Amino acid sequence: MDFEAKLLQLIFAGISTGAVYALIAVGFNVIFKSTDAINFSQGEWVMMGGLIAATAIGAGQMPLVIACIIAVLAVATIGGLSERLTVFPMRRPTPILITLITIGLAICTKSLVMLILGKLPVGYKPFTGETPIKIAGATIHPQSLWILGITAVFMVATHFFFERTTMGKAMRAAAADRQAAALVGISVRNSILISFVIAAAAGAIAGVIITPMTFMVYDNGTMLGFKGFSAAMLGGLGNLYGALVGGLTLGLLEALAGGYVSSQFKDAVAFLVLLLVLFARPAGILGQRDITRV
Amino acid sequence: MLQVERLNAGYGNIEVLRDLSLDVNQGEVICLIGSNGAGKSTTMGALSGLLRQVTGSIVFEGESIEWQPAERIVSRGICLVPEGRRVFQPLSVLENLEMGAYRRRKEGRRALATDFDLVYGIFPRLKERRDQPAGTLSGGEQQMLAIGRALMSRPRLLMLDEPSMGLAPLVVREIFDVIARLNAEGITILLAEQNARMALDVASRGYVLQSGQIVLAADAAALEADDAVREAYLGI
Ligand SMILES: Nc1ncnc2c1ncn2[C@@H]1O[C@H](COP(=O)(O)OP(=O)(O)OP(=O)(O)O)[C@@H](O)[C@H]1O
Ligand SMILES: [Mg+2]
Repeated sequence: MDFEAKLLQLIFAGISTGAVYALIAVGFNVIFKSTDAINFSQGEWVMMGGLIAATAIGAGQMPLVIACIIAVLAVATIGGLSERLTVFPMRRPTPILITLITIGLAICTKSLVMLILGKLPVGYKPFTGETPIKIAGATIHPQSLWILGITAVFMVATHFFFERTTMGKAMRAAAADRQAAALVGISVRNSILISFVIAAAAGAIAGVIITPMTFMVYDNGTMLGFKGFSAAMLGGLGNLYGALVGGLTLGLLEALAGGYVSSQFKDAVAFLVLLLVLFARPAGILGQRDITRV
Repeated sequence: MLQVERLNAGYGNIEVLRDLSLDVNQGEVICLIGSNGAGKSTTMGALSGLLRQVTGSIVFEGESIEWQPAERIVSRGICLVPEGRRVFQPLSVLENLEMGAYRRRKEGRRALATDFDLVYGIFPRLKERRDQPAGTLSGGEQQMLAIGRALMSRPRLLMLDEPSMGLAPLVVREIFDVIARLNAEGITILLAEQNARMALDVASRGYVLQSGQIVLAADAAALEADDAVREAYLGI
């Protein structure tokens, strides 16, 4: 394969994994915005999305679309329940407490999934076949197009929610100033609940669309969560558009490193990126643009 | 309208307010004066429901509200403009006002349009800047926005915590004119201020707060004439 075709091939692969990382990063960002906590169960929700969809298709004999929708709804419900059962009852839920709780949630989730759904890797067919599409000498898997399309729709919908709906604006208000939000009647507790539901849905969607490409096992969550977290940090923690930029950048870097350095090196990229961000630019690529006036 | 009796409030094991009692009648402007750390903001926090560590009784329009959280109290008709304005900085001016009416979100656009007109009528500058992030407004404009946001909830009792803080004299004048105007339009006002002169000018009665206790309660004119008040708060 000539140089351009190989590069294009790697870019295609990079942006499609990158889109998945972006979805996971959105989950981190939404919860970080509303609670200032790092959500360690984010990766488990991705894993659950894939496993529940696979189970619904395999054991449940359901059509693919229905199975995927059920998986996303189920995980979103689990995300909301997790918040109601652990964060909500706390008198003063501080960021560090919530972070610790999500570590516990992650461990519980992983064990429960292993006990209930088993330890075997599962998968299902790509949404619309496997015939690669040829573009300028390179090929793109049809599932990659699904991944990009679904991610784009999710991003636009999320943007619309936060910018245009009263509930979304209230969540931004609560993220900006919790006490002031309470004073105008916004329930900060509810906005935390909604952020868990959105984050879980984002994770589950990521899981549902990536599983046909990679298979899913009960212990994939940690690595997926880590990649998503690196992407979120790279783009700027708490920034919705940062998630997209960070996710795509990380996906591309991984693909290029895998293609030109060594495929074993791929997983180290996220770690290097995370370290670099922490040293060089903790606010991430998009940073927190400062519009504050004192 | 508002009766507060033997209110005790604090943070953690720090007791701040001790047996504080005060009342506000419909249509009044009441001011709470006191120096730094006297407990003005703590009183405001307790009345607005932000502060949960409260004992004693707070009765508003015949109903006790001391157990209610802030997000419910605003629906009862009490709204606090907090110290330091606390506008939602990343949100636009328009969105800030919209959030002020959050509890009335079911009433629909038509109902809110009159409130937007009212607020823009009082503060024309907010209309000019409605699409700008609130964080980019000047201090005075942010104070106007904070008051406008509170008005969007249609409060019957409006509480303001140091609205003059950090503002130029001319802007302070403007803000106090608005307070007088709002009162003339029927809104009852409870005002906490270090700027005792301005506060006593607009108020009908006042309370002097010292180390979490009310040490003096009288008509504004009487307070202005009081030697201790003149010396401690009016700098005469
Ligand atoms: N969050 C808090 N935690 C602990 N103590 C607090 C807290 N907020 C206020 N205090 C204490 O409560 C006392 C009263 O503070 P408060 O803010 O009510 O005073 P204030 O009259 O509003 O003063 P200022 O004019 O400076 O605004 C002070 O001694 C202060 O140190
Ligand atoms: Mg104060």
